[in-house]
Amino acid sequence: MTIIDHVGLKVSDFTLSRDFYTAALGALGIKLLAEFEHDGVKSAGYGVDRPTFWLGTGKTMRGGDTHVAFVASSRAAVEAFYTVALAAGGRDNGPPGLRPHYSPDYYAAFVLDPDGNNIEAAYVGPEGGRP
Amino acid sequence: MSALDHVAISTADYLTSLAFYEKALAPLGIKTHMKFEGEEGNVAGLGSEQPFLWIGDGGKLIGGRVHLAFSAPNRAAVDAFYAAAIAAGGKDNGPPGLRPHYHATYYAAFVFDPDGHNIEAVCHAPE
Repeated sequence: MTIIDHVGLKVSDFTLSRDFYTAALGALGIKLLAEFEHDGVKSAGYGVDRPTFWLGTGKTMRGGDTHVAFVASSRAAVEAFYTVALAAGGRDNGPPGLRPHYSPDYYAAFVLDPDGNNIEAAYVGPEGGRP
Repeated sequence: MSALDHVAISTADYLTSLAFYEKALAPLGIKTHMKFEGEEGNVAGLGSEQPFLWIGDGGKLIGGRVHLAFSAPNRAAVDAFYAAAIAAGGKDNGPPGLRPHYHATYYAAFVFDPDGHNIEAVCHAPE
């Protein structure tokens, strides 16, 4: 089981970096699968069958230069992650809850790590966890 | 198939950050599997069954603030990645070849992206 749901990098020149990654990752069979603009910020998502690696301009990254989202097995695990991360010195960057703008059952929490990286635990699925 | 082989993050304070990640990720079933601590720097590998996320200090081991390694299906794909990345404006950070200090059949190439992130393509399978 993979532990990481997706990773995001902040880039300074969106078009330059998008074209760079499209070329470099194309050689590995990793494709540009999603590209959109929201609130004036641009995102590009790469992957094999779904986007797992994202490029974004500043605001997309929600406060960190680097974004790493970990896979949680249930909503309770997302909540436990958030509680423990704050107790361990992380800073709140978005409490546990649904983020329906990602997908209807996208449940996540966000914390800034000691260096200010934006880390997330995400569970996508029905309440109660996967069987 | 996952696009990513592994991810590494440089930290300002290795021990503080490692303690943070070990605590924060424990509810997700993620723990530290191995550590390399020595003259070249310190790095710890966390994962569920094997290391996937590496937390390190600013030493040579990570080679940038963030390091991403993408999975390559074979060695020819690593070579093609390197050629395409250089042609697309990336800067060389280690040409395609075996890196036997990782393991005997670790074949990889390293390039800096336009923002200076250290990116890699790696194939673990024997030729």
